[in-house]
Amino acid sequence: MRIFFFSFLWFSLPCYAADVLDDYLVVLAESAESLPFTATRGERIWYRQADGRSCTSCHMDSPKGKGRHQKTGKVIEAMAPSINSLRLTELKKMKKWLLRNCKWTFGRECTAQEKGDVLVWLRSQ
Amino acid sequence: MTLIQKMTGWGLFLPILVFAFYGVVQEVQAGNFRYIRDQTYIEECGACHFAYPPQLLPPLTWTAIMAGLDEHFGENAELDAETSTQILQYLHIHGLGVAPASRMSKMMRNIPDEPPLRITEFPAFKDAHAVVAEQLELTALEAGFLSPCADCHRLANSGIFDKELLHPGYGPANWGGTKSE
Ligand code: HEC
Ligand code: HEC
Ligand code: HEC
Repeated sequence: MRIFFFSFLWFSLPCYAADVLDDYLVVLAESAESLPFTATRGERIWYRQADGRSCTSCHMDSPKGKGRHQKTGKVIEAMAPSINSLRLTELKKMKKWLLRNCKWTFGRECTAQEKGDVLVWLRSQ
Repeated sequence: MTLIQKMTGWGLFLPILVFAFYGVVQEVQAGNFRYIRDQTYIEECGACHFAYPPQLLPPLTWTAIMAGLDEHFGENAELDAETSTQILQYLHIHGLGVAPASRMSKMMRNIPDEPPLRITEFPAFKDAHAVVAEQLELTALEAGFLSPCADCHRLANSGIFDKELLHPGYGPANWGGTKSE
């Protein structure tokens, strides 16, 4: 009996994980200029170049591969949830890194629209 | 039990005891501190680079680093106040000169009144690594070259930096030309 209970808990974990991102997307949608989030736009943000900088400066071209911090050289684990199931599961972490990384890459904070788009694209990876 | 058995028993047991005692004395003399890990610290301060063990810098320098996280060597590494206070506390309790004396204590030598922010700019650190440029046939080491400690120090992740415990053939050849952690 207990095994069923635990396996239920275990298999339901990913559902909870997805919830965190879903909830965040709802919050972002409320403050965005109300275009629905799309992966196509998200992908464009990921590869957008600004003064020679882009998200790929550290995460490398494919979110499915490992990255490398441009300045320190430290390896960054893959961003795609299909490869790294720990990604996009923690609200505080997503907020913190989106804030830092947008400032680093584009010299400004990302808009709610941009955050939503890029997260939807990353989730599809 | 016969006398012979008893004597063999003690004969085996006593050397083990002596050997264990010798080990403990050696350990204490070597001054390997115990590296107390903190998960929050490793997650927050180990994301962009190797999480530098607290005993590498004096509390004064840690305070300065934590106060300037918004402009952290050209990066934004800002943290919320709660996490930041927690980490600073950890760094203070285990900082250089606070933790029990160890091999690392010699890093305290010749610290200027206004200590630098980088471990790699402390006089004693520079002295210890003077041979590196020579061995790698470089005229000078650029800033940040020695920052990824774990590339050369095999047990850096356990907070151990003994010169006897370097990666064999440490240096760029060992990293395939680029720095890793
Ligand atoms: C200067 C290097 C750098 C750049 C440029 C960069 N990132 Fe990151 N990013 C990191 C690091 C380091 C982490 C933390 C990785 C870890 O925890 O393993 C991270 C984490 C993240 C996370 C959190 C993932 C999670 O675990 O939930 C997101 C989302 C993210 N980055 C998106 C972006 C986007 C979008 C861009 C472009 C606007 C970008 N990053 C550009 C270094 C960078
Ligand atoms: C957003 C990325 C990022 C985060 C997060 C980060 N750092 Fe750094 N840190 C850097 C960079 C970049 C350097 C410069 C490294 C170089 O020159 O290779 C650096 C250098 C350092 C150095 C000097 C190393 C030397 O050369 O002696 C220390 C000490 C340090 N960081 C401590 C911390 C602490 C403590 C935290 C957590 C509060 C932290 N870092 C979080 C990016 C980061
Ligand atoms: C390029 C390789 C390299 C890097 C990177 C490096 N070291 Fe070293 N380190 C050495 C070598 C080589 C020695 C031994 C020098 C000698 O033979 O006297 C040494 C010696 C030391 C010593 C003295 C050890 C003893 O037994 O006396 C300490 C402490 C130390 N390093 C700490 C660090 C720390 C902390 C970092 C990161 C901030 C670091 N090292 C980065 C190569 C490196």
